[in-house]
Amino acid sequence: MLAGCLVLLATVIARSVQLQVVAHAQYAALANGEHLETLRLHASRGAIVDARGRPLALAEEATTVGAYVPLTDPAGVARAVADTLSVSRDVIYTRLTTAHRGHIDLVRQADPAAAARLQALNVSTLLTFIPEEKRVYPLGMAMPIVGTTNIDGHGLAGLERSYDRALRGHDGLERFTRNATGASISPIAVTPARDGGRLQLALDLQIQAAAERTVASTQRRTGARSVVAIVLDVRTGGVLGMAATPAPNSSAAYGEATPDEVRLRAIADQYEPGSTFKTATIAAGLDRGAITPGTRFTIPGCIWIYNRKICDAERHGTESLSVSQILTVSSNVGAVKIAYERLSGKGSGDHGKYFAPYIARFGFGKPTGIDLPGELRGSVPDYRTWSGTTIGNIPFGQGLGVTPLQVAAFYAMVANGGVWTQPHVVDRIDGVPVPAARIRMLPTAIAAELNVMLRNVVSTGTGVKAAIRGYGVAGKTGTTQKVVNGTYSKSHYVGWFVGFAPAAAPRIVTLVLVDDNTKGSYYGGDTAAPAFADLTARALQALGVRRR
Amino acid sequence: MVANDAIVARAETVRELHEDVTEARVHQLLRGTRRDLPVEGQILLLVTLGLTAFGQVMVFSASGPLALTSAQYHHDPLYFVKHGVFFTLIGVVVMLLAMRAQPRWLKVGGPGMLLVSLVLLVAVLIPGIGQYINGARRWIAAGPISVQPSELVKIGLLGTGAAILAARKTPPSTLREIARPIGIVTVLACGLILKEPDLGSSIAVAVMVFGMLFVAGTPMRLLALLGGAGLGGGLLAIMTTAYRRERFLAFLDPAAHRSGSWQTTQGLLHYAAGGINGAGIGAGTGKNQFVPEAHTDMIFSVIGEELGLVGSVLVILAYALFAWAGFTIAMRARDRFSQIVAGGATALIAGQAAINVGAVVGIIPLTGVPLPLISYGSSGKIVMLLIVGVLLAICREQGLTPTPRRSTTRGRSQPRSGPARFRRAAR
Repeated sequence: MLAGCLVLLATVIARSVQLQVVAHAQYAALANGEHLETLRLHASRGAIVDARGRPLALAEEATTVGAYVPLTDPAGVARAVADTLSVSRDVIYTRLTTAHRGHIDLVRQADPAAAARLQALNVSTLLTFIPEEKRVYPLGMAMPIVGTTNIDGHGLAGLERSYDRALRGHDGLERFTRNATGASISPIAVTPARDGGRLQLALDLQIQAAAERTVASTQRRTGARSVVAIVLDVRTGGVLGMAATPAPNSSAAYGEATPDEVRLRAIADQYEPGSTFKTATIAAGLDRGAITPGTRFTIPGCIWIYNRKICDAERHGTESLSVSQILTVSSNVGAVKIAYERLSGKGSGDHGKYFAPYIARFGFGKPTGIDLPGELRGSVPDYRTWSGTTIGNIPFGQGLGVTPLQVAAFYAMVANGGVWTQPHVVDRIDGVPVPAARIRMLPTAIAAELNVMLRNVVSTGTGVKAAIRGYGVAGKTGTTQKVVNGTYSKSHYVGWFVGFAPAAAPRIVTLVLVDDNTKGSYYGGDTAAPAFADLTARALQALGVRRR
Repeated sequence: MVANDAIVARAETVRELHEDVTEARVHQLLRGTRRDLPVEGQILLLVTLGLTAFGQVMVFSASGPLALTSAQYHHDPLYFVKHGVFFTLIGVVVMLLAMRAQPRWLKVGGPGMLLVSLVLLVAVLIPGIGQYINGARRWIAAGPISVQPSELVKIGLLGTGAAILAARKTPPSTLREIARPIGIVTVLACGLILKEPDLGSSIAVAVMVFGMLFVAGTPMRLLALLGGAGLGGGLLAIMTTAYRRERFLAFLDPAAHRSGSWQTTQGLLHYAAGGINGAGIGAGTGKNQFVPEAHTDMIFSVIGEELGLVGSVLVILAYALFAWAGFTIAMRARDRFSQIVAGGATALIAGQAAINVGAVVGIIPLTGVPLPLISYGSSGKIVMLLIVGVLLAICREQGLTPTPRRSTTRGRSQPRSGPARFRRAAR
């Protein structure tokens, strides 16, 4: 018996040595695996606010309701969840009876108040309630610009996509000792989460609202296929407003809109610039010293360039027009003569030799670099491939593709005394200004000459309907035939008006584009100019610019 | 200068006086204990008090997180310490009283207690009387305190069994002699305890009776047979109950029976995680609700984790020392009754410790007994200390006997008829 007791004693001690010394490391690792918990500390996604701090996108508290399946009573749980969170009972039931075993999400990002009511019910012991962040867009404005995220908070479109990295922040980590219920007992190390940056936009919601209203009313008035409006801050290059039709329903989610409704037409569609491009032709001529505003040209009603006949929009006999007058009456023949006679090289293939570099310098044919996804570069033919026909149509804006924003940015450069400023939507991230590139493209004197000429367009030329009482306006109309089945159509047009105000000390550039109107005159001076006047007046008032 | 000297002299006088007084008292106490208790009794007392005090510390460490996080314990981390100390103090007083009493009271009171406890064992099974805690009816609430009838049975059976065995002229030599009446009573008591269900306590009772039979001089082959039958009965009890079977299968193959092995594996894992030196008292992690029953049945796992190999081996050795002292007291007891009581008492406490420790370190299946003297307990704790008190009383009785000690040494005549086994062993 004594021997038996000693054997027992020796066995117990030997086993202790085996456990606590020999196999210690292995068991300690297993035990640590149970106690040590690493938790992701969720970084809150940054808000997106307008120039005056009004919210466009916010992160909101939400609760994700889940369950460990299989459950013994899926029908009862489905009923409770569906009734409390007002979701489909069938959907919940189907999820609860999935073949998958383990944790599943039942309702992502439910209303926290409703989830709290559910948590008070008896079935809540079978459910999990995980706090999660939900992205909300309280106003539903500027939807294509702001964009959207997927349910996990990753940016998919618009600023949410282009600034995803800044908005997302960095998740933190917390390591702690836990007890068997999973609760933290003592923290070991904490790397705090760094919340995402707050985007403050150049966009002003008052101007954006005016832009959204303007495109909608213009669409109704003209019966157009689509209308695009841009308002740029001349000095900073900031986008104050940007809207287009067809527009998404502001009270519905981004995901419910059609791709057509959320396309950023101002940067993702390209058009022929038409007569708005004549300002670029004249700017090139002035800068090269080939012409002055007073240089006179003999303008027949039509001219032949190689095999192509170029005519002005209105029939007229041969007359003598100054460069300024060419712009005022928007003479196609005049624009072609300036480029063909004063900006061509000597060789037969050198028509674009002096003009083409200006087109590139003015930012056409390359993206403006705006901070939105999906911007097109436009299409400008390489001058070495220019034919005689090319020099016969590019000077008045045919035969090249531009985005509305490229045109607006060019006019902003002219308005800003020849200095181009990078167009951008985001002004500051967490209060830190985002730098915008500035490039001098024209001397101040030439910009001033263009300013005067563009005022004439509104005061006496094709753009009289763009005039605003109390503000001096400078701008340019444009009307282009749409290409249908490979040829220029006689019934489908795009009307433009782009200009700036107040003309003496420009603050904003406004662009309105009316694509394929079905009612009334198709001239840009008739379709787009009144909308321009309306929108510009509202924007100036929003900025507090006084009437003269 | 003079005044200063006087003050110094005075201070020294006071100190000397103080020392004299203190020394005198301590000596007196030691002298008293020495006079009353032979050395094995002193060791038994020291080990018991040491384990009990140590137990309070470990109960605090092991129960703190549970009590803190549970509304049931009023989020008071000291809940189990307060209750434990209360019952322990009662237990120590009971132990000291029992030490001063004649062990004969057990002979007189034993059968009555056994009868009462058997009735209570039946009563506890009745819903409304027995409290249903953790899936078992083991407690009877009597006002503010709860009583476990299975604890009373131990004392009752200890007294009654010893009285019956001591009354016999010769040790029981056949199964029939063992069975009637002590075997039947034991099987009845164990069966009722098993019904609660409380396998651990019934095993402890069986081990106690086994120890009594052993000390009474029952032939080895008969004891082997009984041991075999006990193991068989235990196995039967295990295999006929789902959760016990699951636990047992988990013991045999922990990986394949995870649900049944949670308590075992968690206990083992954290015991092993202690390493050689342990995490330090209070720094363990298993008690954070990973190891169930951390302050009762699985407290040895907490000891292993917080005090490591050093601490757990010291505790094991303390129980070995307790067993040695207990059996020494049994060997030197004055009469046959005291001998058998001492043997049963020692077998109960040491056996229960072995069952508990063996289960924690994973060499025997988990049956659910508290670690005597260390684990948190109320009536169980008091009963354990009472039994130690009885052991001390037997030892003291022997110390007070005028006959020279070491009377069982070689060649001496035997003034009293001790059991044959001890005579043989001492030869």
